[in-house]
Amino acid sequence: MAFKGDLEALILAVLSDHALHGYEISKRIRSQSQEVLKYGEGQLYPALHKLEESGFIEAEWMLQDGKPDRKVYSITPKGREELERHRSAWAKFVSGVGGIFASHAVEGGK
Amino acid sequence: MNLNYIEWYVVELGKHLSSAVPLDKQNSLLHETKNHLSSLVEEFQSQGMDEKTSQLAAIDRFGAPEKIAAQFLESLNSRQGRAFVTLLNLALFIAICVIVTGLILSPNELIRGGPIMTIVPIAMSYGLYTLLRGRRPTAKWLLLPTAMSVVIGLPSAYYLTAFTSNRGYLSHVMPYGALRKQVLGLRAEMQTQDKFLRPYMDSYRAALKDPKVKDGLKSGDKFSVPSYQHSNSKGVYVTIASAYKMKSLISQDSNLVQLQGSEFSVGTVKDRKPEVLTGPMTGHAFRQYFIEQLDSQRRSRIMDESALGQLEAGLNMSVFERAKLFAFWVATSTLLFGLPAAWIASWLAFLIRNSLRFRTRKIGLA
Repeated sequence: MAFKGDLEALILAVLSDHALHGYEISKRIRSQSQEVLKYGEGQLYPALHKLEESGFIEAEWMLQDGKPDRKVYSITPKGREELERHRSAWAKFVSGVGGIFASHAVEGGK
Repeated sequence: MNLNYIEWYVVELGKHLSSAVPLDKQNSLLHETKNHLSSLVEEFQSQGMDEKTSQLAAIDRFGAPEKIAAQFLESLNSRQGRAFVTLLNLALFIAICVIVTGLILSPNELIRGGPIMTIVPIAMSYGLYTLLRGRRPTAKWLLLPTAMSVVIGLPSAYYLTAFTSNRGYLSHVMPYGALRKQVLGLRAEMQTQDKFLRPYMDSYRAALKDPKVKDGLKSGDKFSVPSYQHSNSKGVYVTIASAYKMKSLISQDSNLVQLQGSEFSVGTVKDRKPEVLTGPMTGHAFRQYFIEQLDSQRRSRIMDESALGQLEAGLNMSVFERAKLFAFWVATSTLLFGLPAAWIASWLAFLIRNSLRFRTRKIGLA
């Protein structure tokens, strides 16, 4: 499923609970979508960069003993507002599409 | 863990990023990419895949490096309005073209000289390479612009400097014949100056001792201005620096200054419409004028002697010595001017390429 335009919204959603590094964000998107949302995971980093530049998320390098350092991302208040905007737009979209499907299902059943 | 494929992938991604992304962002992205791929490899291995297969599967899931690099470049540009960036890049490109053209066509031989001959071919070749290939040329590409600077720069240096300059600049790359002509020309010019200017310079020195000049002039005083002749296509005039500052010339016959009140006036200009030059002039101003004239003459003589020395040195140089100096000239010009120019050109070309690529994608051509 292609969702390039929504990848940034998904990242914000995943980060709304925890600060995470890139691989973990990717893993959560996969698992929380029941493997429905598949994409080149490399696309995540341009999206993260864009979100960081826009001030929706912030990043910090975490030092790890015996392991490579990780860049951990967390959502900012501005990012939460952006996430709410996405949620609201998505709810409207789902409601609209759902309305059409429901209406045709009723007509088909008659 | 042996990360051969992963290492290869990170290097490939770096190649696609290398010219357009700031170094800190590049390092950060490559570091994160390596971490991400390593984690994917561990994940696949825990599912029973062997090392090599899990590396390939990780790369497959991550995506093609050129695609990731392109998206990252797009995210860099997304901060600013793309139309603005495109316009800015084009404006920069045009400005640089105008500046370079201006430098080449400059009447000042020191400005349009050797370095420009190296900058232009190097910047052009690097810029074009980057624009067409989408990546900065590797070190071996330095051979091409250097060759171009030798092939284009040398003849250009010959024709642009050899026949217009007599300052001795680039004398080691000028033809012997043109050099000899310049040496003879400059010597003759210096002899002429000695013959005609020295008496005037002597009179300026004498004027500086004149009590009127020293103590100042009163209204109604007459004072003879020592001056030297200057000829041009319109006839023979007498010039003085203060008149030149007033953007005019004084008649050959008008070296008698009449003070009227606080101003001075001189006679009409010969061969032109009659006019009277007026302006504030005091003994102090005359004194200043004479001092300036003597200084200017002294500086001019020093420059002439230095230029003559360089021209004569070039003339006496053997072909081998000339070749050595030329090689040094090309090398230093390349390092000092060519490489920065190459970097700027490829950077600009990258920006333009990215802007154009974005535009074509947006209108659905690519």
